[in-house]
Amino acid sequence: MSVVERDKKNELHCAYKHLSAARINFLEVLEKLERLNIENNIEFDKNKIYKLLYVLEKSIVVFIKIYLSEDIKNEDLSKLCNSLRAVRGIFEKEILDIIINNIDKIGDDIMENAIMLDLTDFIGNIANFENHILRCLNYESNISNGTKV
Amino acid sequence: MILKKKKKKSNFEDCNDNCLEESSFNLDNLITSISVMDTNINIKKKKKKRDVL
Repeated sequence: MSVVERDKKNELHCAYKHLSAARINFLEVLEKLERLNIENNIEFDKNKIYKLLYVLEKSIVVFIKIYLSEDIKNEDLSKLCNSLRAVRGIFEKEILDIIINNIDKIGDDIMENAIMLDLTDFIGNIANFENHILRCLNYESNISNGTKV
Repeated sequence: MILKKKKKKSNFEDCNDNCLEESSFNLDNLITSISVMDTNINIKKKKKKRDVL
């Protein structure tokens, strides 16, 4: 394995850690939403949220397959990065809409704050994932430009 | 001489990505694209295995 390949793998390793952490944050938010649904009768579009979870988990599977493949294609990585960026955007909008629409039903502020904290962690982890992927994509482009990474 | 004030460029003007378009936030499109990616990677894997054999 060349130095570039090894460095790329290291970046992907970090990216994977952030992605799996983002999945845990997503599930934390989902758990709190379900609890609010039962206790405070707050309605949300379950279909949409579970579809997002599907995309997120499928992305993790695809990411592992890319990581295990011997040659890491930059196209695949940038596509994956774009789809996860979209997941982040949709999820953020959806959660904020749910909280704003049910602000009177959410009795204690603690739950709302807890959801917002998990959402922030999720956004941060996806942002860090993107950061590592971008660094990984930069390795090859910098080498073709003749600049040192 | 009257100096004309330069119009400030919006940050989004330079963005050529379609990140602000509605289509990029379509959830069903997202599901199809990730499934297509998965199948493409599986096909590549199978091809590699065949080449090795």
